[in-house]
Amino acid sequence: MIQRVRSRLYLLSLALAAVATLTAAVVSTHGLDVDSLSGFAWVGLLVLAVALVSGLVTLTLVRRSMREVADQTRNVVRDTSRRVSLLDVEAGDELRQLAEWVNFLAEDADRSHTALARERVLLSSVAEGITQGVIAVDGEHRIELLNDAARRMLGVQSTPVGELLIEFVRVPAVFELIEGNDAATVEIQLPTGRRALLRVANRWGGQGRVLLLEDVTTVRKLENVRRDFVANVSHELRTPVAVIRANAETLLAGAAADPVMGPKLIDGLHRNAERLARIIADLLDLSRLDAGQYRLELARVPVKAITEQALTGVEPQATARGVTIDVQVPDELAVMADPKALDQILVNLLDNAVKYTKATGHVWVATKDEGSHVRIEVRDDGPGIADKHRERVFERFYRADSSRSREAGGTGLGLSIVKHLTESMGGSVGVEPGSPSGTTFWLKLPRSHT
Amino acid sequence: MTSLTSKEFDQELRTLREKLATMGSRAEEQIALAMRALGERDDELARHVINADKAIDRDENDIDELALQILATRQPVASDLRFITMSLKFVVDVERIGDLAAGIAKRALELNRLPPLDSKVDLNRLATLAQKNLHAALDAFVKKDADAATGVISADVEIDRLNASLFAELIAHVATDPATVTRVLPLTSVCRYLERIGDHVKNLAEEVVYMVRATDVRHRPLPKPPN
Repeated sequence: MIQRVRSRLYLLSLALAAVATLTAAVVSTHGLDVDSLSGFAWVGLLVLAVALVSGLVTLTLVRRSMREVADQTRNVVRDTSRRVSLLDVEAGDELRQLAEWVNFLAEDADRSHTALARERVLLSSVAEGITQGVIAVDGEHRIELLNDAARRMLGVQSTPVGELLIEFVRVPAVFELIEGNDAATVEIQLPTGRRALLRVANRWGGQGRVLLLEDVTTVRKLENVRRDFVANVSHELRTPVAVIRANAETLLAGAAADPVMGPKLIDGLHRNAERLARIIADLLDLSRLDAGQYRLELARVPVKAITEQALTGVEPQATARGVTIDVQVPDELAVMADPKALDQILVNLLDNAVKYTKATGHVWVATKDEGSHVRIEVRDDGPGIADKHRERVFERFYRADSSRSREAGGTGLGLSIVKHLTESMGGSVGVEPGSPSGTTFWLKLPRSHT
Repeated sequence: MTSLTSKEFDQELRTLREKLATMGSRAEEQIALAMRALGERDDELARHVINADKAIDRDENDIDELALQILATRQPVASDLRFITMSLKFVVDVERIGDLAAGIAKRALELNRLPPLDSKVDLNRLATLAQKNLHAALDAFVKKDADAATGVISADVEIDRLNASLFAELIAHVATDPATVTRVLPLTSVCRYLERIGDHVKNLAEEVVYMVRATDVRHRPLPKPPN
């Protein structure tokens, strides 16, 4: 652009030179007199006028080009995907150089924007994808990031970026950690009732802080189960061993010859040895189930026949306690199961029902055809299981009422074996809320149609 | 220099606000845990609640100290001054709520020594209502929402009404079975504690209205409750 202006200026200067030469020629041919002097002044004025006009033209042209470049630059600043047009301009022109630099800056900004946007998407997809909760706040404790897991753990419904954290989260430990200066970890109870490890990373970008939340509810629960198991297994094994040892020592000390105490002590020995054997057999079953070594062969099993078979095992005890067992199972109903395992499951459930219902109580066995599955229910009219025990009764050695169940001869492992066996056969097992009027255990197994 | 001072001042106010809100949420949790200890006859949990009341007491001291320090060093005016004077009252109410929650836990410990009472009187409804109101009052406080706070003030009527009906039910229980009196009495205390918690929550809400609108709504006739 400026180049063009410059070339026009050359033309104007040439025109001026021509006018000046002409004037000189006129002056030299006419000689120098008063008249010719006034003519000389006229020529001077003419030259001045031409110079002024050429100056104005130049100024207008330069301003117009500059305005155009400024307009286009403004558009580029507003939208970095646009460019300053380089049309009609020769290379090397100053305005073209300016336009090229503007375009270079725009491209650079464009590239940075794309990279930044990509990083943002990456960050948010990482943050939303991980199971840990992430909370990032700036120096004023405004939320920069609150990922999906954190929102779920803290019970926050919206994504309040830019809002003050205190308006959404009021967990004291969170603010204590944000205020603190060092990286630290604490375990806290969340308002939702879950337990979480809260870790604060070092400061970022000045005063901002990043906090990580890890849900440890299940881990803590499993730790409790394991601790209880170890405590229980040693207790369960130690009790019969203690009785056996005491009885044997007494017998050795001479009680064997006693006609009253002798047989009593030997009976105690026998009962406790049996009990030990039962616990060990159950534990072995469980460990085999855990290791996947318990081989199950699924076949069509008629529910009625297997229930009656299981009943023969518990009938003597039921008769002794005066418990009536009522079986309502249609003849044709069959499930896909391992007959031995299903028998063991039913014996366990029936045995529990007979043991824990009141004397002269009732036990019912009923089924429900649920299309792809068959639901088998064992119900009793005993005291029922309190809510807080219900979800734990399938744990090893867990007892809702330890004194009663041990007295009744349970090993504390029956229900966990039931659960394992049922799940290995593709079924499920559970207990209905029924306290204080009876307990209903149910199991669902795949139905056999043929 | 001035802008640095005002930044520090803002930070102090923010810290004060966060401390108040988290102290309130501690009290909220204490009510829930105390009621759980009562419902599940859990001695360990009850003792935990009694012990955790110390944290609320500590909060009260910290907040008082911070509020006084701001008053002394910054000489706040207008809404900032209202906020700070309000916070001095706020802590007193929250601290009392904490004490009452600990009181519920103490009654739970007493009741756990006695056989469970076979009663259909459900205090949890009252506790849930009190907790919900406290939560709403704290929400109104952090969001500076005077309308929400006014809602909490009028909701206290419901707590009073429920308290009266539960109290009557408990007394009726004693009338039909006088032997249960030792077990019902602690429950009437719990009932009263919950009602008192409701009153403190109402105070909190009134303080929020004062902080936001600069109008004193204490000791005014209550708006008519919805039917």
